[in-house]
Amino acid sequence: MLQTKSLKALKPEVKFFERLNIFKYLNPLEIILIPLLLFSLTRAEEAASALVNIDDISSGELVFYTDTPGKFLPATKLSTVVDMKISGMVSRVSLKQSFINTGSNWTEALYVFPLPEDAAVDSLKMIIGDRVIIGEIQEKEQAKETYEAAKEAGYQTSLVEQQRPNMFTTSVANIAPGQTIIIEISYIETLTLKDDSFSMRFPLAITPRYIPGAKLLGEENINYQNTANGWAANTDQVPDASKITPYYSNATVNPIKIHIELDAGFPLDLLESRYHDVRILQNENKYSIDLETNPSDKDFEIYWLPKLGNEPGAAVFTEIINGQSYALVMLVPPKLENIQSTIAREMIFIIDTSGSMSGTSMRQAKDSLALALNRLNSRDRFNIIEFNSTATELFAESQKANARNLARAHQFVKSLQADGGTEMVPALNLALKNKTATGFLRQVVFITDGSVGNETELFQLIERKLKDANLFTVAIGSAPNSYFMRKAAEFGRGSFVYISDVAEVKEKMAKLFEKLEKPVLTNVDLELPQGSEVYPKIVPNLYAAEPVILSIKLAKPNGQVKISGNIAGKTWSRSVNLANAANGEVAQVWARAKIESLNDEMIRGADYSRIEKAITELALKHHLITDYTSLVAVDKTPARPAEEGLVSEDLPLEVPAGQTVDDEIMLPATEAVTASFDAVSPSPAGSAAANAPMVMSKTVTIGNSNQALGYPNTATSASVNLLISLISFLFAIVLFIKRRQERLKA
Amino acid sequence: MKPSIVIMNIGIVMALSLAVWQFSSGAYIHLKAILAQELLERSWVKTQNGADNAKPWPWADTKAIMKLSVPSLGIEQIVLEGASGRTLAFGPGFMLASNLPGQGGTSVISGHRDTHFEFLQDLNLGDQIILETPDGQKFSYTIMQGEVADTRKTSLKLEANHGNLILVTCYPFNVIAPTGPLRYVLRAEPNLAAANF
Repeated sequence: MLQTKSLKALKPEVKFFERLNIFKYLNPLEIILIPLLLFSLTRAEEAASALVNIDDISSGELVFYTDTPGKFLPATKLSTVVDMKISGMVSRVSLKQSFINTGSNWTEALYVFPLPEDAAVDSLKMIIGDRVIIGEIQEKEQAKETYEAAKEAGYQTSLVEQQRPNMFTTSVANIAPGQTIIIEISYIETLTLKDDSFSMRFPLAITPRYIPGAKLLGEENINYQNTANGWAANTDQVPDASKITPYYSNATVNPIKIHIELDAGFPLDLLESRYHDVRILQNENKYSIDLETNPSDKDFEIYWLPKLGNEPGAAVFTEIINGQSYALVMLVPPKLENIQSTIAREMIFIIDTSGSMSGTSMRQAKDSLALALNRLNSRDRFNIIEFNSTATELFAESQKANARNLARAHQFVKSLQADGGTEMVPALNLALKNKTATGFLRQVVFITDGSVGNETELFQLIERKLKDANLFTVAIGSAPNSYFMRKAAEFGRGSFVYISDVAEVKEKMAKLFEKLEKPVLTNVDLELPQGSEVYPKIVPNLYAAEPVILSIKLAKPNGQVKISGNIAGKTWSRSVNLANAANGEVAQVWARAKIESLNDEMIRGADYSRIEKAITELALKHHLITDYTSLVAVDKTPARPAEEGLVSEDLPLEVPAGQTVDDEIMLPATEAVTASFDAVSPSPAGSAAANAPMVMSKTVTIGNSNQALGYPNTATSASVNLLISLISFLFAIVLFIKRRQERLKA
Repeated sequence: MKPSIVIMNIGIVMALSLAVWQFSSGAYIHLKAILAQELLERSWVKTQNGADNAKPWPWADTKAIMKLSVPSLGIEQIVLEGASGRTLAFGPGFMLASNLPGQGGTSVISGHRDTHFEFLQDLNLGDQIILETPDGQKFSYTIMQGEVADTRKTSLKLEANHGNLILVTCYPFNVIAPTGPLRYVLRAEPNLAAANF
């Protein structure tokens, strides 16, 4: 087990009082020894940084396990080919990377790819020598059986741990010396409109790597001289090879090719690559972008700005799968500066003053609230409700935001103190007890750390009582319950802001309020062709700077979608014709939206087993990783006589220009290492048993439900208290003795 | 009396009161930790007997949510709902944003390194941890990994696809200062019988 050493090393042997004694017994010898020890520790640290940490990996890499736990040696990358197809807000990214094991050992490696947020790998193919491993979406139960069956049969199995959110990792065993590994993954990423522009980023930055002194790795791990691939000459010519990234650090031999087809769905004002020189070809509203580059220290990023009119624009994409049509409708709001804040609002602030908020959290909450009060307009109405074990309101009903009322409010906020329990239900009831005054838009801003257990009850309450209002949650503190906060905002058709640091309060709250002051489109209504299934079911108010996305399953491939609503007091509507819509990969996006909605139904109390069945069905059909399905890597190497060629699916490996590559690494064009994937037995358990050598690896990804949390504070001041007590006591004794001496003298 | 003696008298009184005050604050923390577990044990029994919202003491803003035991060390502790500073004074806290055992995701429990979770330093790879939920279900885990995390650089990762258990406490164990960026994170995987794939 890799971690064995680390666990031992982590455990300090010295106990509390022994440590105190150190100071007493510190002798000159130790004074010399301690710096030496410290020095040797820093040396060890430096040596360890010779290798990479999973967390350091900033682009797709294959890394080998080493003797140092948690440290990896990056494999030499031969090529990277990326294909992206962007239709509107959906981007399908396919990535093919090839690596080589330049070591002289059979080894196990880990493929790591930092995924963008909100993306999940749905297809995986690995070719290691003549082994072919395919990722399959399976039901959890089945995935477990597949894994257990292979394990029991004595095959080498490996489970992969997820190192950080949205880091795709999968392990590859039994890599022969000099062998090439080709890895293909594919994922769908949903793009969002931010500051009026769309952007798409692909991780290319070179992982900071430091080339190990040979001592650390041992000659047996990297043997530059004797690799069977003919590259050893490089090392001979470079005297300080140890300071160079293994082999392909020489940029010209490790090319990256990116090809993008961009169909934004609307005319563009601007399309640019932020860090790289790209070739752009335009064909009406469609663009193709090409990049051939060498590794650099920058990620690849393109961004494009829609040409915006003064009214929200709409874009539609459709896809037909097995005769079923799906559509994705996007509503783009007009530019911020053209909008006058015309709607008078009724703002209700709910602030959590329970015991769990005590300390910094309370300070952050009060700061945010004060900031919010300052931004109120004289036309607005407002009220504040604080709650702990009980809920208290500032005014019996919301009041005008005039100077007098605001002064009272500030006073009220100043006096708030954190104590008691967290009873949210009465607070929400109090906040929503009165009807919204006519002509006002009600916005509820809920500032809390979300330490609640009765989430489901609260979601139900929010949904039932909120009506046309919007709920915005502001999460406070180091370890807020982000699931509750996000979900509550979703049920409340608002959004969610997370403030982890006092320093962020101003900026984040300002952003939120800027948005709240400018609702663009309210009372959004949809008219769809008969028999359509749309998500989200209720269209929220459209706020400035955020587009609304509708995923629709259509009964027939054509028809009209009509969106209407109120904008600046006037009725506004727009129709889009589905027949003319562009093609895009929107079915999976629809499936994801539906799964989200099914999960919500479960929160509302729907039957668990029915929901599970529905989600599993959808996930298997649309190839999605969910709570009930996993992506499992299954060895599908076809059992074949050596002389028999394979029906090939083309898997060309990009050979760097001007570079000769050993035949073994090259994929011969005719009959080759490629495989017919269709010809393989469909039963994963069966094929697992049939083919050797076997590699099983479970791929851990990354549904939406993976989260990262802040760490709670987990130490008390007891030791400090006791130490201070001890010192004061000793001081008292010293004084006592001194006093005695004085007295005796006297 | 000589002025120096007066000053010394004042000094002695002040030093002694400081000593008593600080001693009681320190002892109070430990006492609270021990006493609360007693009260919690009682409310746990009530919860197991079906009481819906058995609060360990009337003004509590948390409740017993599960029982954590380490047979090899003879440790049994009641875990509380939530991981705020106030909750952790009474017992290890279950982070509400994580998943309950049996729900398929990672469960996270944190505790103070100098009270309830002091025993974390005595755990070894392969040690067994058992969680018991109020309905009497037991989940057993094996410790697979221990690491020191820097809160300034990383956040706690919850895997959606594993029924793992993560125990968190402050690190290093035996330093005096109560604040620090390091956390000791033990990761345990569910034993196969109760595995949650």
